[in-house]
Amino acid sequence: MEQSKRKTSGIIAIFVAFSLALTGCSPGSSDSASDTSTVVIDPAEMGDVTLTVLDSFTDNASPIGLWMLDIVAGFEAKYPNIKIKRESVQDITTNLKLKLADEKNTPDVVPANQGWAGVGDLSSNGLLLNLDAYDKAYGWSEKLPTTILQQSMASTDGKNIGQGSLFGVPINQGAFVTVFYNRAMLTKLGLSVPKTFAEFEAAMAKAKSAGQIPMQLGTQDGWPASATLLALQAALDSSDDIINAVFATSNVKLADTKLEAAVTAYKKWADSGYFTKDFVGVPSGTAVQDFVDGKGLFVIWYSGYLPFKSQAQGDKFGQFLLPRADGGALTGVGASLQQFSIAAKSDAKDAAALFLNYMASQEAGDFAIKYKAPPLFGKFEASSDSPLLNDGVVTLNLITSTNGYLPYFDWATPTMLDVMTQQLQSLFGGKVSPKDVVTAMQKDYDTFRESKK
Amino acid sequence: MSASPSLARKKKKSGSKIGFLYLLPALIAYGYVVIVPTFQSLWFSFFKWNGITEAQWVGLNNYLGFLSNPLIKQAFSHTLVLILFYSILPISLGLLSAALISKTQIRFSGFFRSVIFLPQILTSVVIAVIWRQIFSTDGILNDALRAVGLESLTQPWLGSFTFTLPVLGLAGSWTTMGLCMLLFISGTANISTELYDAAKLDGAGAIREFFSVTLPGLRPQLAVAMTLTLIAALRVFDLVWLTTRGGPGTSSITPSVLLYSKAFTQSDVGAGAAIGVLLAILALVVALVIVRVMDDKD
Amino acid sequence: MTRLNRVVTYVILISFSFMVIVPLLLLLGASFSPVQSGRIELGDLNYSNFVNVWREAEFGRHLIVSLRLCTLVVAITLIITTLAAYAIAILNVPGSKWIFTIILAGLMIPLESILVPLYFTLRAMPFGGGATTLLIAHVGLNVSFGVFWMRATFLAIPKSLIESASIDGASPFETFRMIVLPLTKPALITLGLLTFLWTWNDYFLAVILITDPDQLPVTLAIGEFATKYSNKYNLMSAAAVLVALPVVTLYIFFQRKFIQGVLTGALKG
Repeated sequence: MEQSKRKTSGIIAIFVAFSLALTGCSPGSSDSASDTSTVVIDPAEMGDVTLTVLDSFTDNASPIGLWMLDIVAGFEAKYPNIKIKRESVQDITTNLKLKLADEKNTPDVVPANQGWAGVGDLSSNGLLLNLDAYDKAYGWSEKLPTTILQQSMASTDGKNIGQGSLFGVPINQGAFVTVFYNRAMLTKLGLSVPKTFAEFEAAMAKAKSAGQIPMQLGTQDGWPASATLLALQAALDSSDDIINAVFATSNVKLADTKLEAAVTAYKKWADSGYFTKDFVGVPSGTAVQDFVDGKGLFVIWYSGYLPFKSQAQGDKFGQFLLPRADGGALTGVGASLQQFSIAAKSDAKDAAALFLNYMASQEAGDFAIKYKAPPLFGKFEASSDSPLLNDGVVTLNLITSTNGYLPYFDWATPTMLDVMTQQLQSLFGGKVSPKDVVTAMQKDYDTFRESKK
Repeated sequence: MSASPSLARKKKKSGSKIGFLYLLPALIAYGYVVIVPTFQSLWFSFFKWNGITEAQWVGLNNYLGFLSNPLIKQAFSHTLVLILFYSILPISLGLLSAALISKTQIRFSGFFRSVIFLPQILTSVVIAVIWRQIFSTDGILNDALRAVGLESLTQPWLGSFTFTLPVLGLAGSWTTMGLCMLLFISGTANISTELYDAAKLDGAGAIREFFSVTLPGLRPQLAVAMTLTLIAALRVFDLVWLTTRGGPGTSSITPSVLLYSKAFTQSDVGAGAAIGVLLAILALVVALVIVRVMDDKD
Repeated sequence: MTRLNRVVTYVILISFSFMVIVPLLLLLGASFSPVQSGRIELGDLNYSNFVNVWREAEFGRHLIVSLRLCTLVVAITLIITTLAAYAIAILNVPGSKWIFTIILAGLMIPLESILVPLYFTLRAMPFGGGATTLLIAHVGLNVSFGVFWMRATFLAIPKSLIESASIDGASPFETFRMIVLPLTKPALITLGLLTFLWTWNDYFLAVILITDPDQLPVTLAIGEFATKYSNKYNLMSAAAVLVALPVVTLYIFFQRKFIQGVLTGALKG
């Protein structure tokens, strides 16, 4: 009995020691920041390389999926010594951090989202490669609009985004939070594309009285509910407020911005019955699909992401940015559809940078046009055979000329999107007021800024 | 004569050495996958760690933080509601069925048994798909309500702050009901009829018969049912994750959902591990209490 | 009295069966429906959903991943737990009582408590993020029940049979192979079935451990599928049916073993 007791306590002791040893006395490791001293941009000097590219474009029939296929084919044809190995996962963000920290199987090119939850968090943990040296070599800062590149920047001390060093390169495809409309229904209601905010609300009222769904909306699955709020913010708030808040360039108090007005407008639209019936129980996918199937006059969604089955179906719809309430120059929440970064632990950094460069090139923009998706930079004409695409290009040209790109508000902190989601759901459940929503967002914002001091 | 004891001992010794080899693979797997991580969870819970860079020792801070964290309280309060649906409801229905069901031979008993037990063998993903559609705004429940003219009662079931949790609970009941029923029905088959006869002689009515014969006779089954269903309620993750992710707002979060979000989404590994430790302790307490109560009654 | 009893019995059994069958029939019906919302059109039954799901979600590949995983898990679990149970129950290895208690404790430890560190430990392995990680995890998790189940079975073997074998000069392994195993085949089959069931049905563990998109088991694949096609209920139902099919098929043939396994296992625990 004594012997067996000793044996088992011995076994336990071994296990405990073993487990502690496995994780080290304190878990985790401190990684020194990586540095790129030598930069190679000549593909011939890179030798035979296989690039592992992570992306979330799992639908090969969607414009972005097709675009990506073309990109890979075009790149491999141009640089035959570099092979691309793609790993497409729909929910890319969940394990991205751990994939980047993985010593053995680090991917080379990764889709980090702009903002704190993506680029900010990953770069401050030393997981992304600082691209300043490549920027100098490839001249991205000169070729691409600063307000777009700004979205891929973060300070090397990990305290700020929107400034400092470059950690990613946006692809040449743009996505705005935009209003889609059903062309036929608009005409039938005797309306034309709203040029002012008031006209827009009037259009919704008219649709409602005619028995149509003014705006498709589904918030059951959470985060898509934020799209409409973002559009309202862009239409009601000043660009400076939003940019300063997201990039923390000045000490903006959310209560001093028009955020509460945006939330109130959102609630007003809900209470006026402008949204799909019982939208709190409808997943966004269903709402968006119903819109594409012809039910509903408007839907606020990300451009390029409606599930059209064909170009013909897509052309039944048009798109425009929500007009500003103050009648000012158009602004829109927009960014590159995806920005890509290089893993700090990548063993193919030069080839990866070459790939990033390709994804931001004019050629990449041409591929976008080919699949009826709006490019982001370069010169493009609104002269394709797709009215929907033309709308998008017009929007693009307009925003570029007014420099009206606004960052997504949920980039402000790593948890802002969750907070917005939960607060909006609570708002529509009648549990909180617009003021409470603003307070909650402010609290999340303050907590995060505190941690960065 | 003196040779055989030492021979026997020698045989035992070599037997035990080989025996240990037999034991080893299982022990290694078990140790690596269960024992070591259990201690590690405890260890992690004393740190603030984001999963990558160096961890920071915070002692009991994660646990103390829970005391003031409204989300944790909310999650565990939801567990209480789920206990009603996963545990209390099915067990009551199971006991009722056991009491009412005839002790004599039933035709097609095999069929009934297999059907009723079926939900237990379905994976949570399938169950989530089934019930998500039933409770969807254009799902069968709302359709049925409309069909009988009760349009006003239709709800966005999985988007409503009031109904989401109970509705998910009902899906849970559907899952555990079969297990409870079968446990109790097969249990009553083992209660000797003499006890029932004795009760009848004493002039006991159906109700007294239930409380004095059936219920005590089902004590082991009751213990098992309670343990299994209570722990199932404690652990709910799949069903919530695949339908609402804890929404709307936070009205359907559970401790496991919180664990996942803390450890893997918010990179607060220490807090996630602490929740894991709490769940382990609760599970153990549940098991111990049930065993103790059942033994006491003897 | 008995008449009423019988009527009540049938009413109860039929209504509970009804409650189980109706949602399942709805699922089945939706999986054959050409309409997105899954509305059942009895006149318009349609196999295309299954074809679409098979192609689009590459279900075939994921089914194979799951099948391979489950088969391996069952095989390995059966081997190591039977050996371990033999050592404990029959060979009476010293300390086995304590060892068994430790193993039994595993039945009470919920998955959630070990998940987080398990993730970090396994991720550091060279095969991290792939099916091998899941394999190891499942095998380790099944040890508790497996050893418990087989030990109970072995303890039921009359000691005389074992003793006579060792008197005949049989080595422990020979006794194991020729006497013990054949006698306990039914229990082995039940254990195999239950292990298969639990491994196949797992979602939570897979969600955390598998990061390689090519190696998703079928439950995870349909989870991803469900997010992508949340509004195409007919497709999702078809996918759900495909996921449930293997286990349900096994269940149809081995119902008694499944039910008995779970009930007696639970009771003895």
